[in-house]
Amino acid sequence: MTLQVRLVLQALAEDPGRERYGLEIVDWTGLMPGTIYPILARLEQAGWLSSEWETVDESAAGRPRRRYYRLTPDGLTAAAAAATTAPRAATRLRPSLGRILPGEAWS
Amino acid sequence: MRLLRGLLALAALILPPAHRPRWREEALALLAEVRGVRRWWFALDTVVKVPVLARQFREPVPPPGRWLSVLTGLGLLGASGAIALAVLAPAGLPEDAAEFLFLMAPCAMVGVVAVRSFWTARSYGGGPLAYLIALLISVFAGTGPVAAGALSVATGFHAIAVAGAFLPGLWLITVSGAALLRRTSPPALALMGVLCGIGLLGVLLGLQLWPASPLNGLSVILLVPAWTVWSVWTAARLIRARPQQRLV
Repeated sequence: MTLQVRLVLQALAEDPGRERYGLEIVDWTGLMPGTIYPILARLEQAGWLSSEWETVDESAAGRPRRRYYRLTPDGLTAAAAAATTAPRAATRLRPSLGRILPGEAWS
Repeated sequence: MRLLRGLLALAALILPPAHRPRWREEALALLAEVRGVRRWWFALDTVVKVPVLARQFREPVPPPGRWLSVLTGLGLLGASGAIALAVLAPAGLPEDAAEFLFLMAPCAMVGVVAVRSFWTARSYGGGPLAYLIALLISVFAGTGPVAAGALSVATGFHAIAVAGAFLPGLWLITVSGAALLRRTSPPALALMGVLCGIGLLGVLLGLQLWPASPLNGLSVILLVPAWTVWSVWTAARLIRARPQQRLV
């Protein structure tokens, strides 16, 4: 399991009862959007994630609807296992990524 | 946002048709919530990495059929044999036949390129665009300067012939390099494919751009043994047609 996958799992496992959408995961992990889409797709194919469209009136909200992700029981187990195997490496990546990414990708 | 929408629609063409609408909508929703430089930086990153996502959506496709593999191998072996005959015993052939063989020599790979390209297109979900790209790759990388040269003469653009001269070598380097990294074929065969691709690139580009360059001679010296080993070895694997050996 790569460090990026661990980060995404950690982002979603932080509060398992809460669904997260793409930008939240980007902000939490410090990864770029182009990186998280393949990871989310892979995790969803593996049955570790489930996702659904937000139910919102787009014109009232003034933005397009979001796609929300949530860990499945299998994903929660995997995230817990990942957190115990390499928690230090994952936490070290975040500030360093924030420094090298332009456009305030981390902020 | 209209520009971003168009950009995402264009990039989504790389994805299998079934996955395009969701990705476009999701990516646009994310980009709509960021502003300024960050939005464009994210858009660039999202678009550049679509091939990674497309790879994620690849579906397992069975290898090409046994007879197709055998025919492809026989085609590669036959074409290579005909080229060798034309080079080694030109006196034994009528002049027209020798000229025809030299003209058709770059087409020796067309079978293996076509099988590989259409198989890859299928594994990416198929669809008209994927098969069109496979067809173009088959024609231009498979026949090399023959198709590109004909198109160049027809349109009057020399650049097409130069671009066409890149493709066969580049294709062979890419496919063999990938096989070397993923260990999907014996490393020596993949390495031979890379050397062969470099030789092809040197010969075909040299003929187009620097006909009198000494590099042409070096490319030929590299290409002849590399092509001989690569084509015979690859053809033998294709004719043997074990499931994991039916693609270059």
